[in-house]
Amino acid sequence: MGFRFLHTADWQLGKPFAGFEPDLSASLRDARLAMIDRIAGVARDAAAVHVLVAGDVWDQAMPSDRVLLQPIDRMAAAEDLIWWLLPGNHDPAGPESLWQRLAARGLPVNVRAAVDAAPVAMTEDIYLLPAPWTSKRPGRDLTASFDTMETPAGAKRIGLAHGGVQGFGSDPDASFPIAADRADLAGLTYLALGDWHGTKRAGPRAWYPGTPEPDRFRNNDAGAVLLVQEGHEDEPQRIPTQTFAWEMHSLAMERTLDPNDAVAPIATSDWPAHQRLLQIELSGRVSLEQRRALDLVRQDLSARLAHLDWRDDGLEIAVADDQSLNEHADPVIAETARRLAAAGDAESQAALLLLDDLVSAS
Amino acid sequence: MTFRFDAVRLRHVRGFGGTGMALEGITPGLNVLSQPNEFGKSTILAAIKAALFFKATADNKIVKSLYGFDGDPPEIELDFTADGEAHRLSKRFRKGRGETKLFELPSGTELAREADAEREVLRLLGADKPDAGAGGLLWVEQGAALTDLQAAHKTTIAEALASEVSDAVSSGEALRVNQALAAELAEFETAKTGKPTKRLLAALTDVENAETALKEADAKLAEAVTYRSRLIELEGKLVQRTDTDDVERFQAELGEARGAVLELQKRAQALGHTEQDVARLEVSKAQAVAAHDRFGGDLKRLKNLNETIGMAAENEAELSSELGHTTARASDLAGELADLEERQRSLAASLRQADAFERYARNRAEHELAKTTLADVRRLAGEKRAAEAVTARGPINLNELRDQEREAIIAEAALDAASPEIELLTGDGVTLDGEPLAPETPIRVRGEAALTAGDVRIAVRSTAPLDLAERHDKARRKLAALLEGLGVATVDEAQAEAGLRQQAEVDLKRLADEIKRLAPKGLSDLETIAEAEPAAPEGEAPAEPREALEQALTDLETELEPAKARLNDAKARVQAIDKKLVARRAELEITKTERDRLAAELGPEEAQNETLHGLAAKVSEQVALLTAAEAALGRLRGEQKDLEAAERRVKRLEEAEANRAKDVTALKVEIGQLEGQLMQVYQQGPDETRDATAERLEAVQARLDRLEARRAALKRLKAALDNVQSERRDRLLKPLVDAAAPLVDQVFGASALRFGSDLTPEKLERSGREQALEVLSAGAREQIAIVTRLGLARLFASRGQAVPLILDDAMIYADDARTDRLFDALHMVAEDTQVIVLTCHDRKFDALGGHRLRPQPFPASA
Repeated sequence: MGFRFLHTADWQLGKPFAGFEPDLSASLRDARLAMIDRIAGVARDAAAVHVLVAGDVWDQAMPSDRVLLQPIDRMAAAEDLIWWLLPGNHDPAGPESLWQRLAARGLPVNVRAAVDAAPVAMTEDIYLLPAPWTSKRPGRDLTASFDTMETPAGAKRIGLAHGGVQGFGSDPDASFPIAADRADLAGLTYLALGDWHGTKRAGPRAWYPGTPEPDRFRNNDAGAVLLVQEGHEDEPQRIPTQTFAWEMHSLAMERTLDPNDAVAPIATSDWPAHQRLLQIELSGRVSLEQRRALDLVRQDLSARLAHLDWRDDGLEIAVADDQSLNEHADPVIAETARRLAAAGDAESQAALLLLDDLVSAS
Repeated sequence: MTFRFDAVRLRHVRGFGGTGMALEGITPGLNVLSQPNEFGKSTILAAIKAALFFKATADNKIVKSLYGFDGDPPEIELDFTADGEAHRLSKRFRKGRGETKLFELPSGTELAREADAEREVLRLLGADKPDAGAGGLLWVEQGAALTDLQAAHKTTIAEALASEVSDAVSSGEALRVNQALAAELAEFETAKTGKPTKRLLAALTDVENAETALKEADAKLAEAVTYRSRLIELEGKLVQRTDTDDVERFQAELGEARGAVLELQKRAQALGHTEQDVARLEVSKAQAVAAHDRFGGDLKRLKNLNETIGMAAENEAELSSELGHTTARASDLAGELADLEERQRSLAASLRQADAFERYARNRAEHELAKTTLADVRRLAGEKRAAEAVTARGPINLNELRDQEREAIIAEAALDAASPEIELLTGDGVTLDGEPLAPETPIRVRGEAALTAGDVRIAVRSTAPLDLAERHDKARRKLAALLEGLGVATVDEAQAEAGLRQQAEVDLKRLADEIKRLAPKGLSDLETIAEAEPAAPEGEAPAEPREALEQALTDLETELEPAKARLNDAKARVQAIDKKLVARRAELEITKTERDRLAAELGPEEAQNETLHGLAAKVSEQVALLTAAEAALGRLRGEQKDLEAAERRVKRLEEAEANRAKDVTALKVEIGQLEGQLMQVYQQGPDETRDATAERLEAVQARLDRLEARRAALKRLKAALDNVQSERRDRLLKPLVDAAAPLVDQVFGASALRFGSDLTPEKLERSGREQALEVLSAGAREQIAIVTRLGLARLFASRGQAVPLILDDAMIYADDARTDRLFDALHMVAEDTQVIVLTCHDRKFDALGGHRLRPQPFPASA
């Protein structure tokens, strides 16, 4: 069995998730911290000693001591592993950076801060070539220095970098992207990249593993680490690590579609509901009855899931041809409904839906 | 269903004891019971309600309150007609043992008793409780809140009106929805002002707090960044300050500088001695120079004094001579001035004589002119008086004269017309009244005349009536009198006289103006001038003309002033020369004394040069010694400057060293402080706080947006519902509004009553202006309540549901005029509805008319 290591990135520890309810917010933060243990477990299972974290270990440049030190303690506890941490754009190195704070306190022996752009030996014949961020805007392709970094003859070279790659990346407007063929140019056996939050191949032997714990609604294959095996560097193994599933769905409704049936494929999942965060974007045209049914579905989902982002702004309610209100037994209700339907503006539609709710509630 | 009372009888009800009280013969129209306070009118009303709606076995508060003061159970009998059938309800209240009987009248047949009777009564009444149904609607109790309809009233009204509009029957759903809307909206905004409250206010506050928190977090983060930047800057400086190479280089430089100072300090000790030598030699040199200069100066001064004495003597002689010349000159000038002044006096006298003669000639001419003018004025005055005499005769009324002349001519013409004219054409011998007629001399006969021709005598009579002759005479006389009054014979003369008088008026004005012009100051003034002969001056008139004398005097005066000035100058000059001469003589004496003293001091003249040479040699000797000493001192002082520079360098280097040490210390202190501050900052995590706050703000803002959208929807829906309900209400209430309209007009003039959503009167519209009921007076509100009940009574009556309207002490606030109008309204309603008015205002209700109810004792057997 040749040399193998885990490649991860974009932990963004300390992300607050303050827009969520306090309980969920705390759970999401805890999950990010706990993923270190999960990654350690994955490494052990894969018999990998080295874990390469390709930037953005922390979400902020000046995290609190608690956010800074608790992950270090967790990594230190996994003393059978060696953690290689690279400063990224969220947590750049430099004077008075968090990396200096860590250095001042003294890092555990198994935690290595790759803050210098110089080759460092991982093993006797395998060298790590880091491209640490030292500022928020380095203004150049930091991996260019890999080309001229000297390593012993015959030694294998692994690049560790953070940022967008030419023609692909999280920031298409980035002025100084990493050269897509950097692995070839610098003679790298593998280029471990960070920044893109989903798993993605970025070039020959160049991969983004994505964040091991998703933090936003984006269908980009996030929530895993890569196991890189010597000799198979262009075919790393993706190993899921996420606790929470962030899912983004679009739901096009039709008049003939039963809301329960329409939502069922989304609602049904092997993932535990209390660890699912769903964003559902609704579109199409529904009757008031369907809307009432959708509301029930929404209430049901909202109660079951960790979080539901229900977006029905694009949903058109076919109120004008709905008889339940227009021909309501109470003439005042019926006349009001007819007038609101005839008005047609958004506010009138909202008022009509409200009327429907209130009438339905009786 | 129609319902009315025919009689009410009470016994053992409150103050109505065993004798009881009965109101018999209540009519279907307007009935009035006017009794003083405490009579028990309200008791009658309460008793009627209890009899109709409470079981005889009831023991509730109202029934208990009806018990007689004698403690006996109340007995109530009501005779009423329902749908044309007469009935009697007899009720004796007693807890658990009360009795109710219903009879048919007039047969007296018992129809039902107890519970059956009570049910039947309620059926006939169409209601099951006091406030329900049409019958329950029309009580207007004493002191009740008249505008406040009970819920049961509203239901009754709504039910009564519902049939008007086919789709008006609401299930109550709209009301429930509206209430739910209002309730939820109350969670967002206040009903009155729409200001955010509760949930919305909380959300707004959350956003505001989150924004504040974000600003604070931004500030904290900026503070942290500042700390970091500053720390980095200071650490850079500290590295520079503590660079080992720099420190060693600096120490070597300081050692070298200190060595140089020690060497120079040794050589500085010789400087003091040389400075003392120089000082001493400077004193000696100064003394030698002073002795030499003093002696030389004295010699020069002696020479100057001798020269001064010589020049002073010459000057004195010159001054003496000048004094003599100047004094003589002054004397000559004084003589010239005296001559000029004499000539001036002579010329002035001649000029005054010339003036006197000239004035005399002017007065003379004026005198002659005055005499001529006086003659003219006197002539004009004569003419003026003549004209005044003419104008004094007064104006002449020519029109009157002409009128009178015309009258005389007309009268004469008329008379002539009536008088025959006799003219002898041929022959002779014809006489008229004895006067022979001549050919071509016609004679007009006035009155009667006898025409004789031979033997023929003919009477000739004028046909003129007598008054025509009188008119003619009168006119002639009057004209003659007028002409005589004017002193003329004919009208033409009178006209000429009038012309004369007008001309006299014109002349009079012209003469007055001419006299005024010739004697503007009056005649007496002119006479004074004309009569006073001017006196001739004494002496002879000067031979030369006055202008020549004046020119000569002017010329002389021109000469006089310069002559005076020259004399004054000469005198001043004499004084100045004299003063100067005295001073010169005194100075000369002083100078001579000084010269003699100085000559004595300097000794014999032949030894003076030798002494001066000796003093000069001494000075040269001292200068040489001083020059040598100063050269030595200059050298030593040059070295001293090097020492000072070396000491300054050492001082600078030592200060630099001290500063560097201080800087290092200060940098370390500040770095330490910043590190401490940053440690605190890091403990708090400003980045996390900031990001968390921003996310929180986003979340609360999103929540606020949702609430605002919800509020907008609530308001939109409420507005739509209110709108529909308002329109519906207007349709629904139209019958009531129509029924009340004539009554409102009757009581309030041209007005309209608006009803609110709760079916109660809400606004009174007068002259296009709406007034909320709460702003109206208590009287107006009471009247509106009464009018509303009257309107309802009319409405019910129009639907065959006439029920009695009982007013208990109502209309107490109304003024006389309004009361009259309310009475008229009551009569209008009483045409279809039984109205029973209970009042204690006997006099006020006299004007109401209607049927007067007289209380009687409870009949022995009704």
